Amino acid sequence: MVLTEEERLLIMVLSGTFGMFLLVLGIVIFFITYKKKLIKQQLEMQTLETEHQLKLLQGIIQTQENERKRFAEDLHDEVGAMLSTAKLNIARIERSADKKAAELATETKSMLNSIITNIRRIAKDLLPSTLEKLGFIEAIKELCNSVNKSSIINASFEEVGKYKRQDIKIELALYRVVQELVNNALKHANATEIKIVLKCNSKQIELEINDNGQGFDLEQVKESGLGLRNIESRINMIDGKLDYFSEIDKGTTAKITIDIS
Amino acid sequence: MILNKLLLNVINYQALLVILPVTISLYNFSYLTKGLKTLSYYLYFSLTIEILVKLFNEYIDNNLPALHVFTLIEFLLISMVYFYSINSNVIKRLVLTITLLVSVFIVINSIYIQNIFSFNTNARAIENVVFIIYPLAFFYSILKELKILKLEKEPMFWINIAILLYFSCNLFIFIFSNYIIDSLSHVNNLWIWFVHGFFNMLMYILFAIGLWYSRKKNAY
Repeated sequence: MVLTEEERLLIMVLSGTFGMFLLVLGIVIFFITYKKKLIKQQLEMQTLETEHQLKLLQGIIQTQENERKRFAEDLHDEVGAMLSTAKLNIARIERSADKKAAELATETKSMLNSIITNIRRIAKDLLPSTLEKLGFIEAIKELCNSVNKSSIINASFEEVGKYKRQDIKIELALYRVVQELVNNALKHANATEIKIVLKCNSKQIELEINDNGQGFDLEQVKESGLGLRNIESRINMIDGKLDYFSEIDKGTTAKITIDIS
Repeated sequence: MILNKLLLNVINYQALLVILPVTISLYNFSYLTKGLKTLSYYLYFSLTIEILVKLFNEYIDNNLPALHVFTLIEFLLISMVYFYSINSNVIKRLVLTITLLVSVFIVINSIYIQNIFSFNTNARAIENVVFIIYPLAFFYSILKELKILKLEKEPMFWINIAILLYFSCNLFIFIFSNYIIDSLSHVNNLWIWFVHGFFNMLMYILFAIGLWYSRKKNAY
């Protein structure tokens, strides 16, 4: 069959057009498939990286806790014991010395009492034994009591719903976060009141810490604040969610939510 | 006869489907990026030319000079769409250089090389090749950056396919357009230009989809 010039032109144009159409279709399908593959690989790498970072973080925090425990025990067992012995010796000197020396001994005994109290407080902050023995609620109540005794801030704690004891890692993380936030309020906020509210149900725990202090610029602190990052790290480790609200002269509120279902 | 009439109607009126993406672009104008706004200007220009050609068809024997002007403006505007949409500075510079060189060629071709009353096949062919390269470069840049997670919601994804499809599939038609008009019978001409019209309509539909997603993308 001999094709005419016209037929040859027609076939060439139509088959060229059809060929280009198939080529474009192939390119688009390849592009979509390849991109999906690349995205999947990227997500897998990101997941691995996140898991690795989390493991590192867990290691760092565990090491931190181990060091704190060791330090607290050394402080209590060694330094605390030696100070108590020194206090006894001073008491003996106070009883047997002359008037001037006795006055000096009394003053020294008072300083030693102060040092022993501070050492005990530091050791307690480092190793909250109440947390381990009696649980989160009692540890927070004790924290509030010690804040109320030693400063002009009024710290209060409220429990809404029935709290069920959680894994020690969760309780310790929550306790450290409360500790950090209370310390921030004491050091920087110029607050007169700190409210800690714990809301519990069968599905989640919600912990809210609020102070009526001077507030701060959240964006500025997020860039430079190690304390805030530490808090976020601890909450991430226990799969919790942290919401932070602060405005200048309007106080600060931190809300932590943990799913326990 | 009925089939011929149908083909003729599609050929004559297919370009008016540009009203669809024009309407969507006007509706979403405030959400459009610089690249998509430039595409919109191309669509408004296309619609204007279509209307003018339809209005003055009876009075003008050969309106191919309009195609020469249309080719230049189309080339400049679509090139700028890619200039604004691609993030890579290297590719941007390349686009600018190619746009400049090819624009000069289009003008020279219309004035000195090909008759202004015939199809500007040289210019259309080069334009087609460039508008195959630009979409491929855009796809390459998306693969390299990996910033877009949901392709189907990305406006430029649809617009890029539209341009690649239209200019690739019409490459042979545009290269041989003068031969097609002169050598093919009326019926075969109808089929060829129907195929061109079909891909033109497909391009406008894909433009419409892309412009529709511009609101969804920038609203979140």
